[in-house]
Amino acid sequence: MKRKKRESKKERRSLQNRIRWVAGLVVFCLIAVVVRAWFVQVVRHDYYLARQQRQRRANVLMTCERGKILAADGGQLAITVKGKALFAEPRKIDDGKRLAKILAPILGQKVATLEHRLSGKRGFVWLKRSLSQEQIEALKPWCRKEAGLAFSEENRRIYPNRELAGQILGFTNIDCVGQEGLERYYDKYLKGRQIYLEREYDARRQVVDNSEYPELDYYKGKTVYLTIDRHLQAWAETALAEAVIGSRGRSGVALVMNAADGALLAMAQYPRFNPNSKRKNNPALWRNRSVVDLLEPGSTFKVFTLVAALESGVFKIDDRIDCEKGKYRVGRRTIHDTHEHGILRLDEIIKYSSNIGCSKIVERLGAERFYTTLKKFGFGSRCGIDYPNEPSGRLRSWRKWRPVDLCNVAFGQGVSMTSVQLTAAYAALANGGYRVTPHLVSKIVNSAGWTVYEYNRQGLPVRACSREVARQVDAALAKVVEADGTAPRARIPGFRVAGKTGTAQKFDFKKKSYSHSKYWASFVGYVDPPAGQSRKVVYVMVDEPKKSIYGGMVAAPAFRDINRRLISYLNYVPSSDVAGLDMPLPAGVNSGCDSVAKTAPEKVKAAPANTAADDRPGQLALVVPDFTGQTIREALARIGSYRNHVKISGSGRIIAQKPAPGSQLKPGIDFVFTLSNEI
Amino acid sequence: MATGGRRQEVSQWGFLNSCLLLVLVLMIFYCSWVNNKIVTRGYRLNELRQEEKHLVEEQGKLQAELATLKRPQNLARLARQLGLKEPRPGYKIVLP
Repeated sequence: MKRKKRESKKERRSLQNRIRWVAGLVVFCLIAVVVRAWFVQVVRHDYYLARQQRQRRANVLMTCERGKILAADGGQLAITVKGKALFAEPRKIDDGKRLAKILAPILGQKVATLEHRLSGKRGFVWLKRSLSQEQIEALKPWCRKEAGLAFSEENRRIYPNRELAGQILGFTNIDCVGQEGLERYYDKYLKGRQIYLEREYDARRQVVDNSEYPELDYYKGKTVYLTIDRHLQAWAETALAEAVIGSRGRSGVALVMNAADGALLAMAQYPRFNPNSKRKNNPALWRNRSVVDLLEPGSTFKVFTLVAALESGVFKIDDRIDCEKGKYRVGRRTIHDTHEHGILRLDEIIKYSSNIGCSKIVERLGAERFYTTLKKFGFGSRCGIDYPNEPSGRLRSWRKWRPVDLCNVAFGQGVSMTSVQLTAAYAALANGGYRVTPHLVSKIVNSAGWTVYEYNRQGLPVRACSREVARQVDAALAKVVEADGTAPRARIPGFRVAGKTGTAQKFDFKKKSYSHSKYWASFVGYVDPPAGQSRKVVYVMVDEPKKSIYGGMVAAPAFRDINRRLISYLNYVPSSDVAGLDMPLPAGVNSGCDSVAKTAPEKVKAAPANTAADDRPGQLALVVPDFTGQTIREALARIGSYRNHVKISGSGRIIAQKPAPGSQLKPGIDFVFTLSNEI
Repeated sequence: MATGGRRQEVSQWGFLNSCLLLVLVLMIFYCSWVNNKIVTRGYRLNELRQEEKHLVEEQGKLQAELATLKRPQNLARLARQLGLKEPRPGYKIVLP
């Protein structure tokens, strides 16, 4: 019994000892874990944290979206879409030859080329950029990072309007960096910033998106708003194409510029160019000829001779000059006119485009005075358009002019400028004498909607000529489109048109003389808008027309076509001011009553001779017609320029009107029409 | 008596230790569960971001297509096909 008890006590003690040993071992292990944890978490915290971050996190370089280019009407001219590119890691590829055979038909490349790219131990090689959707779908089964073939995301620039304004916009390279045109000029605003995005990966290299995501919009490129209107641009391009093709010309340029501030509403060029497929086009087409190419203006420049004459005070618009019946000798050269003219007034020299008349003006005026006026319009220097590679115009110093050079410059030879520079000079005439800076961008807005740039005229407006001279020149330009002027084809019924033709000989650099077969045919002018709107200068130039060489025949019809659309688009109202040109004169109005005729509505009757208005010399009293029973369309057509003061109520035909029929018509009077469907 | 008191004391210590161990185990489980949730949510978030990106890309492509279809020349061509004509002078009335 005692022995049993002793054995049991011994066993218990042994068990207790074993438990103690195990407990001690567990405690030791726990202490070891705690010590190790303390060592890892506290002592070498930074080292292990960095190692963890290296393994789990990676920084990916990302180029943010390039900014949009929008037209004045809000249309998208250049946008960026996400695309995909295919790259390979040749050192990871086992069978490059087999892969090359599979990829070649999908990518449209030669097997040998792909084999060469996929061979070797290189770490990275591009196989194809800008993949199409079909190519992406076809390549998906083969693309695995582990297999050494994968997609990379990239931005792709798209020009949705294709050829429209192609030369203005220019294009970017495959990495979305501006190369030509506005894409290049405004690249610093348009380009998206490159940022590093931190990504967290798991053991299988899957992305675990726990990292903070930056606000990518902040890094996007800015939106550039153009002054170009898509519709006007399209019409200008269509009219220009018709003019160039119709005259069998080589190329052409058409511009529409707001005379008030120099904003270009359209800048067309023919042949056109599609920036989406720039490599398929001849690089010569990339050039924006309106801005980059210098040309001799020819007769369109005569206007500035007239301005110089009037500004100097040496001449008055009524002065007459003998145009020598078409032949005039200056030194050893003879200057010719297209038609033989006798004595002409200064405005008639412009109307008939007399070279001899202009030569005689500058001979009397003197080279220095003429040169000073030309410099005031900015000739011989850059106009400052926001477009790359604008050249300075060529205008030699007056001290270097020989007598014959002086005469040449007077009718637009021996002086050169870009189409934009010439149009800007005409804009100065059209706005009353102030110089303008042509520009294509109205504002630039960042992704938060803040305007970071807005076009503003720099400094105080600079006068090129006085308002009075601009008015007299405007009157002279209006005569050019008269039936016996050089451009009756530029006339538009119901609207006052002013402009000037130009037919300039091109210089033949091989023969070192002016060509007798190559010409620039041009027309530049404007249509008078309704009150409150500024004039829009339209310039059309056709290079080397074959059918006819004259600006009045080749360019003037395109000018008219562009303006017809512009008139409709900008809601110009036909005016009876130009009744003498195309509209019937109001009854009872004779040519001696200019001031009244200018504002008289169509077909209104003269008031009885005993009215008070009749007593005033040079005035003609007019009466309000009876509009009852007419449609509003008919009534508005009869009211003419009075239509700014019309109030309409109801619909249908006119049943009542104010003022009453037969009452005296006064400027500024309000018309009130009540319409009804009952009659 | 003394032996009984000591046994009670030992059992109290055992109970306390067991509770602490349980709490520890529960905390470990909780931390693992939270970590697992974070990772799962991360995957889901990544999926959603990919989907959003895909939709934005799709929207961009559709906008490009719309802009191409709305270009003035295309609209003019379609209008001609539908028999529309440009208004002749005087057909358009501008109301004051």
